[in-house]
Amino acid sequence: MKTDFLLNGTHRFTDKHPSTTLLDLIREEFNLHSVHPGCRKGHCGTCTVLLDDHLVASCLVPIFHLKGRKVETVEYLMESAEFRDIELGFLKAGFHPCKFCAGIKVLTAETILREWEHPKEADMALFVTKNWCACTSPGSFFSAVIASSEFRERRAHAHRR
Amino acid sequence: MAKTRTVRSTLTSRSQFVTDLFPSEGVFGWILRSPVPKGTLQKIDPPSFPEGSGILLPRDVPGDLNLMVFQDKFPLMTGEVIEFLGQPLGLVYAPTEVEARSFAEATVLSIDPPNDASLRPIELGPNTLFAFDELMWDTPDGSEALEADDPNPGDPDEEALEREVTSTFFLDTQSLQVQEAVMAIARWKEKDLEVLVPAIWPHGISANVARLLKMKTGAVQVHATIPGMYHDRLLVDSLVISCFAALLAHKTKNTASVSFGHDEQILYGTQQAPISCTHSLTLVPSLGLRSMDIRIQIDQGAFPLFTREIMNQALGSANPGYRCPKGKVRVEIHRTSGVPRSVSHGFLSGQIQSITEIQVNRVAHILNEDPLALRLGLIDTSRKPGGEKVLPLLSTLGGISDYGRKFSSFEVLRRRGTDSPRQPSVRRFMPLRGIGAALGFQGNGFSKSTEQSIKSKISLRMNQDGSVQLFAGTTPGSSAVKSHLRDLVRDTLEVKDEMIFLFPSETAQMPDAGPTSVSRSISIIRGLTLQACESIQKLRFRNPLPIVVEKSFSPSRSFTLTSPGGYPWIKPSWASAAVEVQVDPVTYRASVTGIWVVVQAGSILNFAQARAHVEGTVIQAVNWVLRGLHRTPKIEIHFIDDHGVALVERKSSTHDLQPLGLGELAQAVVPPALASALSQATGQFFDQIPITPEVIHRYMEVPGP
Ligand code: FES
Ligand code: FES
Repeated sequence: MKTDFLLNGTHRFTDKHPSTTLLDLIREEFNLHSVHPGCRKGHCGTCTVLLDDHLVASCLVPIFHLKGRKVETVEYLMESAEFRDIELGFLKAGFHPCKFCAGIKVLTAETILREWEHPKEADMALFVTKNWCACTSPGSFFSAVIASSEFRERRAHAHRR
Repeated sequence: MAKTRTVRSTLTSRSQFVTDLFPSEGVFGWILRSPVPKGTLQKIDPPSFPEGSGILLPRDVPGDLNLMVFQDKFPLMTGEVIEFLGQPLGLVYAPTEVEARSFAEATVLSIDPPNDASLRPIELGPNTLFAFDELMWDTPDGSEALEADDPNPGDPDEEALEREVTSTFFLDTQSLQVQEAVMAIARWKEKDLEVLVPAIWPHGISANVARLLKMKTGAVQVHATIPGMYHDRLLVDSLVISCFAALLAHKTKNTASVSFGHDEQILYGTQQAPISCTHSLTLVPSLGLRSMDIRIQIDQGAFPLFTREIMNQALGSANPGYRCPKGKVRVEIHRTSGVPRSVSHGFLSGQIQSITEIQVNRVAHILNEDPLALRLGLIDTSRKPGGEKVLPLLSTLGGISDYGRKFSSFEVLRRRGTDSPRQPSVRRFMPLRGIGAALGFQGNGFSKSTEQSIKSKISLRMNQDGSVQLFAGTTPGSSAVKSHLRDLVRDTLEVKDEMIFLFPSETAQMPDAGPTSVSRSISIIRGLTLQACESIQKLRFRNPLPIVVEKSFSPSRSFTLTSPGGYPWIKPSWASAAVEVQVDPVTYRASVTGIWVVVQAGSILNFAQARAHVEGTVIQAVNWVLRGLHRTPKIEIHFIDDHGVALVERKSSTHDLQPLGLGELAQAVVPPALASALSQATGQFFDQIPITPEVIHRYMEVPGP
């Protein structure tokens, strides 16, 4: 069975077995290594990707669900101006995730910023459980996202001017 | 200028995870494990294997079946006596991992049950005692000094005032349950065997593989990939899978991969040892501590590893720095039927310090004193190194957390709660609040005698074209340390950034730096690099290039176990912490409402990263005590110098004070502060960690001592 979907802005096909997980597909067939296998049970969040703008655990998504849908990983986001806001925000807040989870933290920040222009801690609280990281505190992630939102706002205004 | 580390540079860095290198061909192994904790293996009946599959047993090992970890050893697999649940019995292999696993599951094992004696539940005691060591002191000058302070020397009433506080503690394993698979890949590079694995001590692995396969150490190259989330288990677990992968590659002459699945990690992954401790302090209110008697029992599983290091750490941490003329610390290592335990450089020390700190807070409670004020009186400021540095830590902590005021108000609340037999109904549903404080240190690296046996080495080479190559093993993935070493070379030798080359952690290129961690790299490897740069600077205008300088680390004096003065480590860094909590009186759930940490760790190389580092361990410590992932509030971290002056945030220069490790400090100070805060909130003394809602409920329903 052929499945077609949009991966990082490009139309893609795959004829892998429909029960193959999205995680294995994007790592093995498309060599996107920012997504890591962790528990393969949907708990740890290290395999998170954006599926139609929602954060999902790619280890739980079989590829027959993909038809006509949009998948984004941090490799794609890194090419956009939006990534720059997050990069600067993380830097300003002194928030340095490790390579293992950096991709997820950026995707999570991006999802929050797509939803709220000025995110509050309460808005973000649910998002921190998406990744099982015991090395950075939610507090510093919140400040990093808030700092990113400021950079994004500044950039938006600069365009309007 | 140092390069700025952005999230983009992290994501695009060259370092690789072993899963990124997953081989598409070769053979895959799956470890066949014992389903029972004790017994005698009679027979292994595997299914009939198709071409390209099979099983490796102890008899297939050409060399030494025992793996060495420092001075201790354990067998890679057993052919007869089973000592723990999940002990490897063999390695089943097939062209894919799924097949290998299914063959392993289809293998029938005949195991004779153990005799009655070994079926008895194991308790730490004389039957399981593996080794012990003691530290005793009786300082005549200490007691003279005390008598000099004594307002009424020889007053018999003082004797009557002597109090003894004895508690028994139980600390459960500290490791978080890991959900991340580790894998080792062994492949042939002509006659050499290359092993790719997440590791913090590649040379340790290469030496073991060489002995296992009877090869020359130089012919086994270990390439350390970066670890994912947790590092502590990499010392033992990575060694085991590397040896299995190497054995499989050796037998099949093919690329071989062996992984330690995420589900296996939970059952059989190495964890930190559970500890039980009887802690007794005697004190006279106006004179301070008179004696301490501490007995620490450590469950090291079926094959005690790192035993000397564990004893040094425990002996050196039992009294973090209190004035006490007389004392005894006894450390016992017990052999049980658990999976062999790991050791991390700082965690064990932190756990032992936590016990004494909880006990000191208990003493304060009994004497009805403010715990911070009590510590100011008890600290031995003459103790070297570091005694005098401790006082500013306490005063700064008091200031930033508003400790004294909060402590007294929570105390008033608690008393009102416990004094009146009938609480007003509204108050019964009000959260119970408390604050706790603690003091502690981190040794940085292993204890002196272990460091002496490791003899970390680095080498630095200046070439004819002026380029500099630094061969210094650091933790794979620790970019902060690497960029600091680069700055150090650039500033001392005045060479351009593009001319400095650092090498990844590969045994083929790198001299043995011992098991690495950020704190060891900062305090030991950095020092060696600086010495090497200075030597090259002296030689470069006199001698022809290239110049190669090697430096190795050997602490001058080893720790003698006869006195409590001094620490068994090279240079400790210090911290104090206060934790404020709230306990829901209906669900008994505890939540942390404030954390303040004061850190004294030499100069700070990068404030943002140092803060992230401390924050990370604070969260791990909170999660250990309260069990499970908890949301933590913003953590306030202050960095001070030895005199208590706040360090200003700026780019540190390479000529500043020596920087020290700080990543394990929170492990020593946050658990006791949190446990004591819970005690103040609930009015119960907690002598065990973790403290889950069930534990709080039980202690509050059935009040203890
Ligand atoms: S691997 Fe997908 S959530 Fe853990
Ligand atoms: S898992 Fe990456 S910072 Fe915690």
